[in-house]
Amino acid sequence: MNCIFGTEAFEKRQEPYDVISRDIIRDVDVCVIGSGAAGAILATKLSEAGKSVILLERGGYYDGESMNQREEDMMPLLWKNAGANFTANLKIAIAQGSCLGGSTVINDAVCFDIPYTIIKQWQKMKVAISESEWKKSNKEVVKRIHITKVKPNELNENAKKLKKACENFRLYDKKIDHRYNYRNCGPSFTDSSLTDCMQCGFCHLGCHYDTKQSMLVTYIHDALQNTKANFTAYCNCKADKITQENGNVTGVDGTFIDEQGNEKFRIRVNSKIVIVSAGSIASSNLLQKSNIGGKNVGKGLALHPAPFVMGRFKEKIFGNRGIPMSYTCHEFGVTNGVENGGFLIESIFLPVFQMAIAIPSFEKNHRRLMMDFNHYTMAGVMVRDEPNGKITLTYDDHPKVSYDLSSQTIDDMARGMGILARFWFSVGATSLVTSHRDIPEIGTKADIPKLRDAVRNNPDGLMLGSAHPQGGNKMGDDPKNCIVDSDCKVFGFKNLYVCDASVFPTPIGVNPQQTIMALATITANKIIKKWKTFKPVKRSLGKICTLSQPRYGLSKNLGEQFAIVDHKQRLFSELANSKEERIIPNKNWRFNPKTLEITNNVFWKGFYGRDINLMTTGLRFFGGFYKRFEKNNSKSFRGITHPFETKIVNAKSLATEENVPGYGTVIRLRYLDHPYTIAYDLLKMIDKDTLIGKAFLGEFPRGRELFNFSMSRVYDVDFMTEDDLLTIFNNSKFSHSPKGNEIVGKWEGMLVSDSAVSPRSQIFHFESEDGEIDMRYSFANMIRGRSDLSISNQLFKMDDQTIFHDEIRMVTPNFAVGRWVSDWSNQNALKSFIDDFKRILPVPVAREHSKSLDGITRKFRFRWPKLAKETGFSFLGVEKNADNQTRIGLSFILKRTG
Amino acid sequence: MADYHVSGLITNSFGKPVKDILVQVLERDQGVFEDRIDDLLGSAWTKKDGNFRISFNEKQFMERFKIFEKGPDIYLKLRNNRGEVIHTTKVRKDVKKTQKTRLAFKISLDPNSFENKVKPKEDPFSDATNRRMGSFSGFEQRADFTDNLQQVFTMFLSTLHAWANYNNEHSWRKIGYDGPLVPKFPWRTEHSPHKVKWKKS
Repeated sequence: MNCIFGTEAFEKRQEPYDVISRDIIRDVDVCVIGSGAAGAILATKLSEAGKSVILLERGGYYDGESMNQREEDMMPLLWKNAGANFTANLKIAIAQGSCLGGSTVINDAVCFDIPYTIIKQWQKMKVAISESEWKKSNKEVVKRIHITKVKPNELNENAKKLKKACENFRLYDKKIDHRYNYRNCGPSFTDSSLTDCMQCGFCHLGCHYDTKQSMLVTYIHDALQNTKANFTAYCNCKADKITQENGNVTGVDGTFIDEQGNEKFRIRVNSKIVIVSAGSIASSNLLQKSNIGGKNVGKGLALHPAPFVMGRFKEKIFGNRGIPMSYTCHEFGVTNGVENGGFLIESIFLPVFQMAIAIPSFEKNHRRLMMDFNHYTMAGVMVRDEPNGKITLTYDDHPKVSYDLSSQTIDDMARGMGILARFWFSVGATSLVTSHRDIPEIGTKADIPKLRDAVRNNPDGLMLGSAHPQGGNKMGDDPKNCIVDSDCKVFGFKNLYVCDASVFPTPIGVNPQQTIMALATITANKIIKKWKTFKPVKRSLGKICTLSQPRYGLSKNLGEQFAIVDHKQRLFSELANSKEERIIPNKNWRFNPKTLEITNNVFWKGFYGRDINLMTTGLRFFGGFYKRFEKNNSKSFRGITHPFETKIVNAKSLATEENVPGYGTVIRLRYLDHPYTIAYDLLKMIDKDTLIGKAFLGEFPRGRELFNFSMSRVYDVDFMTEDDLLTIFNNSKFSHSPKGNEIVGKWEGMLVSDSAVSPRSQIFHFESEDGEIDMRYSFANMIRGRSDLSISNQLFKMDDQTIFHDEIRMVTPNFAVGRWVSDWSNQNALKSFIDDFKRILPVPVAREHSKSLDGITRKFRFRWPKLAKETGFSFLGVEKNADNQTRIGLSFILKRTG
Repeated sequence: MADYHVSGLITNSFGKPVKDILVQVLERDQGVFEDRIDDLLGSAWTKKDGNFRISFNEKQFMERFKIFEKGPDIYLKLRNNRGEVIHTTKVRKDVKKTQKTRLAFKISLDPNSFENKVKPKEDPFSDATNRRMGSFSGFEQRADFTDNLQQVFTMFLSTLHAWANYNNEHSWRKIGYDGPLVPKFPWRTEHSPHKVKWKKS
């Protein structure tokens, strides 16, 4: 059954809805990322064409009944970043929706056909979409979302004033297609008595009445109701990465999040095609995170920045009442044939909280201005800017939007605000309020030049809003400069599409939702036509908790698996590990560079749940455990349980198969020596290399259950131990010193402990300049610098400011291993490290500490150099070479991200 | 030989038997700990006809209660084929071997009462503060703070000022703002048919 899924449960829902309670893995035809103007249409049309479709949406599903017209409630629910969404310089607030239906839920329902000028300009830029294709798809969109023209009697007082002003300036002499806006409002599917817009004025906060024909109540609703379709929408689901293999994308890894954005569950979607429709900023961000599209991704961003001017009138206007955006002055914009730049003047009115933020003053003045709330008219100058912004990836993979106003955009704003100021005075305004901090109020016409000058001389003083981010993944025919072709297919990929405003080669100068919808319609039709060319779905488990890979499970999942799965008794005889206790490559240890999987029979490596809490974080950083077994007799195995780092625990055990009340036949692991005899484990073999278990404290069989765990002899590099890394690092069959420009690119580094690799700990950038490799690093997003490289056939070494240096070896083109180590020393390596550490501390403190620490050392016969080893600093390792020299350091893996 | 035999029938909400449900018999321990430390006394999967039968022995729980001469406090936990807990029965206290009726269960599964379902929130807005906090994740990376301290400060003050002064009905009345047209919890409150307060244009 078609359904919406999410992580939040509410009392009542208008559409079929269920709550996610576990990891999800799905194989489908199409995975669409983003449910806004493009994503919803693509998902719906493809599901109507008989394809199985999954729609991933970062925001939640909130229906009309949940939309209560209150800013304090609605902005955190429906707006991206709860409305706190800005360019990096904090000069422009970007309004975007983050909910099922995307920005179409919170926009003003204004619809414009793609302007003729834009079609021609894009065609010159090698966008192969004909005028007839645009017309045909527009027609389809108009029908499905009920786009109709605002009637004269639907203008509110605010819009009427703007209309009158346009007439005063005889702008009607110009040939304009329409001035009354077209809007997508129509019958409500939840209240049959509502057939058109209620004119409540709360469009920005979602339409309570479901008359705004957003994607939520049109396309998505249709897909959900279509009994022949196979359609699922996953909300509260963040797409983390698009996975790829040889020019084919294989699917998407995602995360279900809670209200604060923390991980709850995971999703793996294996699909024939992937379509990214997350909006300009998020789409570019996802491509960048997935290392797709190269350096041009994120470039060419435009925002349609819009300052406002409000007129203050003696009479009450009640601008908040009625349709906020019903009338537009087109004379100066692209719809009037203006080729470069230009602007539209559009009626608008802000809800009270947003209005209070937008008015550029404080204290008494602000209070005074707000007291006239009902006396204002308001319009915005929406400028067709230049696509000179860019989206870059931050250290933690967030999108950073860099945007500076061009001189032409500033000039257009100055001109537009000046004209709008004259408009309001022409219809009787007594004074004006502007969005420029230097000139927040204007009393007379004579001051208008001052406003224009202020904008030109100090554009930073403007309070700007944008609701139309466009560009970032430019469409065209040249793979060198563009990201997608005219079919919206990403260059270099056979089955990856980007379809949303991010592909616009230039900003379109009008509200873009209808153009985005038309483009999605065109793209969906093209995909359907070439459907047979796509390869079948290739199944991958990703990093999802399944029975064959319980190491990815939450602790709760491990418990659930333990409850239902039977222990495979025939496999009990294979419990023993190799006789050798050290890694011997290709005998008891193997590495598969294609799958990045390690098969290690030295021991069973233990895994706790992946829950993000104090315990698992601590374990990740301070050690894990392993168990080793050897045959005792035909019915039992002798074993040992050992944490990797510390010698404190070395628990001998005996494993036998027993029928345990409540659990059936399982492996009972009894500990033989004091004090471990107070505990026992129950284990179940799932396959020959996978075990799940429960640890108990107390007397068998009635001990208290402590925790769930799993164990495996096969694991991927995300769980490698320091010994695994050293085996790969020191063996030329598995790794080599980077040659030529092999290392060039961006790499994310993760520290290797014996428990699991850490989250991202560093980023390395290698760039090739004139045959030389330049290296920059960022450690924990706090310490940044450059390293000097020395490269030989044997060693790729990077020196930084510390007493340590990095050594790196390539394993595959996209995977490398590294060590951050001290020099080889005949002395005890840890001692030299501590001596050096003391040396770099401020002298007086270092001396005091040195004395007291030495005193403790003598008194308790505590050997300093072994401190780290015995307290289990899991990342810190000591290495010995053939000459019996030692060195200490950290191990890390590197994964290419760019 | 088993001392206790728990049996029963699992049906769906239409009364049809449900097979492949894992039924676990647990003994409720005294204490404040969570239920996972309760003793598992036995388990079985339901058959085609929805029936199950689980046997367990007095020894599995008796030692602990010898002093009080009490029987076990038992309850059932039902899991689906993914292991998720879908139903937990009420605890039957101090069950005696001879009380056969207290060892028989007839359970009708209501899909809406599955335990793995997250309990509905009081309202979708209750987490607004968490959502706001979450929206600032990575803000220090997304924004160039140090270059724009004055801008940040001004924005912060503007927002705080607007929040403090224009986010409540009292202030709305003061400036003559109409305010919302629907109740705060529209789905909960009986409200009159949709209409706006003012005369439309």
